[in-house]
Amino acid sequence: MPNSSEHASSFAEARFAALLDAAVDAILVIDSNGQIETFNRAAERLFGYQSVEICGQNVSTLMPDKYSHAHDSYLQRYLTTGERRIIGIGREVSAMRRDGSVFPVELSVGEVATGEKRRFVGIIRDISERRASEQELRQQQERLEHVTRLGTLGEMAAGIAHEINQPLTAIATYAHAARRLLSSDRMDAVRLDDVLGKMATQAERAGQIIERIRDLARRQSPSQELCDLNAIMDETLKLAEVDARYHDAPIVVEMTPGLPHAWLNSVQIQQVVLNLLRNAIEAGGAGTKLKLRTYARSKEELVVEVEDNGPGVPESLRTEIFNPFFTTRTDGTGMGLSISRSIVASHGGRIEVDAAPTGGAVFRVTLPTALGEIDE
Amino acid sequence: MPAPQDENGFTILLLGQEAVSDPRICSALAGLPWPLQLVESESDLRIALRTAPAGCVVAHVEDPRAGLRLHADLRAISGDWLLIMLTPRTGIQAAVSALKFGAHDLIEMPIVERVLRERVASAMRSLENPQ
Amino acid sequence: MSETGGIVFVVDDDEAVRDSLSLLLESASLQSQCFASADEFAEHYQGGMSGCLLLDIRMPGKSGLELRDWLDQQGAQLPIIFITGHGDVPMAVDAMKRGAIDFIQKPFSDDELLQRVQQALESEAGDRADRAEADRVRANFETLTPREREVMQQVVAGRVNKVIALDMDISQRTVEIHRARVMHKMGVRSVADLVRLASFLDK
Repeated sequence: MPNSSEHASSFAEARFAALLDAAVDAILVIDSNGQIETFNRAAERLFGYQSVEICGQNVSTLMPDKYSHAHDSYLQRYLTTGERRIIGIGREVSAMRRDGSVFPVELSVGEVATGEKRRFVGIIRDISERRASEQELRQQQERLEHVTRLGTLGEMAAGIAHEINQPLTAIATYAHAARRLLSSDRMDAVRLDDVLGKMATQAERAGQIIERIRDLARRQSPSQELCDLNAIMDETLKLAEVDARYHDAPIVVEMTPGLPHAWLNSVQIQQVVLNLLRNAIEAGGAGTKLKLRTYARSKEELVVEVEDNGPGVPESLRTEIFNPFFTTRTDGTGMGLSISRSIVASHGGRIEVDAAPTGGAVFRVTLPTALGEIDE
Repeated sequence: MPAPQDENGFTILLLGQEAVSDPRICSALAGLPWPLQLVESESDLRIALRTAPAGCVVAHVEDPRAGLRLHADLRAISGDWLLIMLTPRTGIQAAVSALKFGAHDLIEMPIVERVLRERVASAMRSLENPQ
Repeated sequence: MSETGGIVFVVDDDEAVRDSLSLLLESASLQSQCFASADEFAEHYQGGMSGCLLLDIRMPGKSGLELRDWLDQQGAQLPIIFITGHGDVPMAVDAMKRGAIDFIQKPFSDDELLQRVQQALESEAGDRADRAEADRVRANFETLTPREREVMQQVVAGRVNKVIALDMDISQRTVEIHRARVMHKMGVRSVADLVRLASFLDK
């Protein structure tokens, strides 16, 4: 019965409209040309348009210019090739209100095929607030990283003090000796020149140590650059070896030459590896044997490993140790590994811990290479 | 006050107002297998030293120099007492001098109970088994 | 400064510190030899060396304290002055209790260091002379017959010949002969010297 089916259909439409209006998320329906057919209450509130004025317009009206031009072609491409850029996927995009202001939204699009007609339903969620809190979190994390870096520095201070003391001692001793020899007429100009040269060398040595520390302490922008992982490890070792020597913990270095480059924030990666080395010394005490290894697992993945012969990490704790505030030390903040994990994650990599063949722990940082992007 | 005596007569004398009123120091030393005698001031020390032939004087001293004066006093009375200094204020050179000039040991305050117990015990054992 | 003939053995992993120390020691007319590690010195070590050690506590490989323990096992008599760039009170106390004669922090004053080194060399030279004397006395004592040793003990104990003769049930004349041989073999002229030598035998 056409009558009853029409009735049923209009009843269904009304129920659908009511449902749409009750929804918290903004929902709109467009046809295959991108024209808006349905615009719910939440969408009206979100975009500042009335349903009646926006219906019939192209959906690109709701997008900032840079997307709006592309949208028609996306839609066309999907309809002809079936290639999905967004349909059924859901992603974060920018939207534009009636007043022209742009804001971040999460958009999920579904396709509704009723008979010949193809329609698309878009569900839009305002994520400005989430974005704001994410940004705050990021800032907080950066502050924490800074604090932790300074904390790591503090722990390394003893070793650094020792390291600077050596050239200072040499300088003072050369000077005392030279004066004594001069006063007893046992020092000629040639010899004095030699001693002064040695003193200058030692002063430069002290200056270099200070410069290295200053580099690390300087707060740098968290930008990533195309880097050679081994070069970053060389820099890291200059700092780590001071500390390692102080704790009599030799570092065996096994770096694979010619690794593919990667997008890395060198200061952050340095911090991760320094932190791992420090933890290993802390856990194993004086005499710990450390290994720092780099290699490429594949064309897409680089690996940095820090291995020690200390007590190792029990299997039950291998996930937990990366949690914030997890610490086995009384003076630890418990943030080191957690921050390391988030740094590595922000590089698109991962960090894990395993048992080393020697019974100690091996921390493995896996980072993506830049290979894929260069290929494109 | 009659001193408690063990069979060898070795005694631990804890000296100084601050030391005898510190419950952590007292409890650390009271747990050792030697009699412990508390001496509040240096003026009581001479009397206390007569009650036992030998042992350790564990003394709270303001700085190692004050401790050295005490060491000289001890030497004047008897050579069989070892001096262990507990001091809140010392630098490396002061500590080195104290040991060079005859203190048996020096422990920085605040003390760790286990450390104090071990060091006093090892001093007492060195008296009981010379060489 | 007195000439002791001892050598200052400098053991420090820092090349510049070693080099500058040897120059400072040279400025005070002291002979020195440098070693980059405890193991290097241990390899070089021979019993009977004379002098003193300027020893860094913290070094890669064997630490200064470990070298001290090793030298102790070898029966070495070299006095040790520890030098450290980063010491604390417990470390200093530990080093002193384990028999160091001094503990100096880097950077150090030249006067202080040289004075301590000089003291160490003198005390070592004195000990060495005492040991040589003791060895000589012991060797001489070994040549005495049991009877002569008995007479020597009595003489050292302050007894006169008559008492000794009664005690040992021999004639005074025999005591006199024994006594003369003891003095001759021990290389002394007076009873006082004999008493002094006897004190070495107790050691």
